[in-house]
Amino acid sequence: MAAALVWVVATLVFALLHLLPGDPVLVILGAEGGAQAPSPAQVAAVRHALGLDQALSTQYARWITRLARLDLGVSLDDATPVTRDILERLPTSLELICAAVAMALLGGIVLGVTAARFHGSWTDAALSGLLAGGLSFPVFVVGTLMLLVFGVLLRWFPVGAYVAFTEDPLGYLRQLTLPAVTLAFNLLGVVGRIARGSILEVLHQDYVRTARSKGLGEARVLSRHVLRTALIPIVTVVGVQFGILIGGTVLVEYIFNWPGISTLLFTAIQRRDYPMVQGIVLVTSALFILINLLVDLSYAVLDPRVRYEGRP
Amino acid sequence: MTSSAWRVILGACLVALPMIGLGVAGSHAAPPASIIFGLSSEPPNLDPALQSGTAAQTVKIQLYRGLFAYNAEGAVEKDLVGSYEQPAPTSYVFSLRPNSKFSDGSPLTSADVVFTFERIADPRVGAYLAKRMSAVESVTAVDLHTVKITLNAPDATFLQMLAAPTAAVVSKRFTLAHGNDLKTAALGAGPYRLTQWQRGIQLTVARNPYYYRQGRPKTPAIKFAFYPDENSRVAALESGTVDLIEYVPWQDIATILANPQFGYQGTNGPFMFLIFNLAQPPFNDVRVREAVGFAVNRAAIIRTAFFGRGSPIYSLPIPAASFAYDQGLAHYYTYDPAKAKRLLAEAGFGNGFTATLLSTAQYGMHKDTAEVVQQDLNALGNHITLSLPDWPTRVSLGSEGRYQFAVHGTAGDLNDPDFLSAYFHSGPLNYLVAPGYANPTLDQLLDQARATLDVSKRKALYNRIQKAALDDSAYIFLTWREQGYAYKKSLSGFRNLPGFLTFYSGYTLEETAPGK
Repeated sequence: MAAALVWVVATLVFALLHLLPGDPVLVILGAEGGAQAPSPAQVAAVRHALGLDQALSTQYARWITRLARLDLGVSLDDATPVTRDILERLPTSLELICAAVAMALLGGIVLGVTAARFHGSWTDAALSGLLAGGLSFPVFVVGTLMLLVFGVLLRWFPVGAYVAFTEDPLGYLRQLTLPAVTLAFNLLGVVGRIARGSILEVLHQDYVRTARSKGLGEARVLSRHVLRTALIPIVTVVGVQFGILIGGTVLVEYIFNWPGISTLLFTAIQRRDYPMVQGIVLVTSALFILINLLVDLSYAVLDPRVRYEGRP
Repeated sequence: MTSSAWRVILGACLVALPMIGLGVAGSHAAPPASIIFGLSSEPPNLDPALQSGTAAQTVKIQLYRGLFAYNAEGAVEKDLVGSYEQPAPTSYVFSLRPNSKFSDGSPLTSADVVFTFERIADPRVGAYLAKRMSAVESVTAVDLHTVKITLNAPDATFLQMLAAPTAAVVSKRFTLAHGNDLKTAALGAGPYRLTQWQRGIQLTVARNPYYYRQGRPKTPAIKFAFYPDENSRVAALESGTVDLIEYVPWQDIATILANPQFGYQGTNGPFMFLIFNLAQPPFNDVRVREAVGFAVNRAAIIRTAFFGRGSPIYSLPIPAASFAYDQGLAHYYTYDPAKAKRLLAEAGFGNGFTATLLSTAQYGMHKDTAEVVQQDLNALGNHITLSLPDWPTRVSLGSEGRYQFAVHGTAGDLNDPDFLSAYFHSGPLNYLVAPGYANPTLDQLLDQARATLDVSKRKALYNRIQKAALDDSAYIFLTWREQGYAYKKSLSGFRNLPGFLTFYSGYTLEETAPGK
């Protein structure tokens, strides 16, 4: 099943990419802004060396057979293995996404619970407004503002100077902050609003009334009984968002110069680096499928009523 | 898993957040005595023979050097060549500096030079200078340090071509050991050697201890960081994260000039122009092309696309400092919509024509220029629609001649009017030339001008070339645009090379020192 899905994705990506106009050979030969254009002999020689002069069906067959051996091929640009580049850049994106999701989850739940707890009050109105703001501000506006205020004016954070955690842990965290907060901002709005809504719903359930009538304290009712049930829609939405964020962090990675998978994909598309684009899309699709599976499994943990039956 | 597991996760987050906050207090200072250069893109490769954009060029100049180079004034000077003579107009004998070494300490000999030229001529390499180097008939090693080059015709631009970074000398041994692939591995005789290339993050170079110039480079190490987003690039300079940036966005030049913390150098290097498809109506009629030349308001392009940082071209893009510049021809066109209207009427388009203008949405300057052209032509009753695909698509359409007229922007590659050959000499179709355009008289004049070594004779020839080219008007040149570098005031020694050579400004990085 999974293999078939991967094959469908692989074929679709291949077809779409090769339908796209633009010629990687011209890009490689310096269409960036050269004052001399390459000669037809050069174009032909480089096209041949890269195997791009073969029939599309041959190229497709080669790509699929390699894929069957888990070989994503090499970059048209510099012949580095696609897998190596992806393995280098994917973790960087995941770090950013995890940090953002953690912030959004924590902040969103705290704000959502508070808003629900004081439902109908001024606090609720103010928090709901803030969450709506998080939801509606486009990421490039938030990002650019962050960059201007905290990077240029206050100089609290360096601007787009990535250092690995292993090299300089503090420096790493410093430059993770702005992109992670920017990325979290939107998700915070989503999580917060869903948390508020679902807690309000759960608060009126019979078992909550029972818990209260048992004499449990409000804090314990909220954390033990309400929040746990209310978490299910939050986990669902975070799971979906997490999947979308992989490869969907393009703007944030671009603005903050974050060396992740999205910037790699962006460059690869601009340069029409077919194997690289195909590889990235395949890997991120596979991750998306995997995350959705994990989300489904987590329901069982969160809600005792959901239990998957074991196969005989 | 129970609620306790969730508490652990929440707890971890609680711990992580203050850590990030803590990071704010930490300081991240660059290692001393190094320069951080904010480039506009990551080099796609390090092969010196390939033209891969300005950013890559700047890095390659640090790693590689050729027989000649450009100095800060833009003049050609000897680099790896210690002395040379020209026994005949078509032959050169170059003596390498006896102490020339690659940055790993291995000797640089005539065999490496011969290999470099062979490599440039190999079509599989895709070398930028391949076409121009076809003038080279033979390259022979006379002895270990002497190379003789014979041309099949005299070439007034030959030494300038050798000074281009794309003519840099590579190590035969090293290159062959890497399967003739220098895209990621680098060994040259430049002032720096490659120390680390973290893909997507940064590229660092350190002083080449074997560099032949005493006391150069002035700075022990340079770190190149990549800022494709222009706002982030400027923010990186303003926040003190980088010392020097290229491609200063035009909208920020005024602010940077007004700030005493920063230095700025700009030059009118590249230019914007329109290419016409002469193979089909309406632009197969020279009157229609001339009408466009009179219809477009250059001042509006400079204002909208370049925030005032540029100057108009009403003729061919010959810089005023060039020997070929002719004041009498410099105002062939004017902004004269009424005249444009008359020319259109003469051509049978009294009620205007319909055409699609190809440009790209990927670069603001291309798009903004196209919009001004569209507006000015539509004001005369024409119906122009814009086609704005991404850059690779734009280039493919251009190289196949699949457009009616198109916006383009580039620079000449030599500070010599010979660059006009790339546009006005007939040859196979490519994205720089007007489809369907060929003028045998111009072909002959351009060849003759290249083969003439006497400057006053060349001046006369280029005068005739300019007249013939303007008569045809297969291109309408629009504006010069400013190409600028900005840096911390304390930085010294960096120079923006004049005119077309601006993209080779990396040559002055060996003279650059970070200051305090």
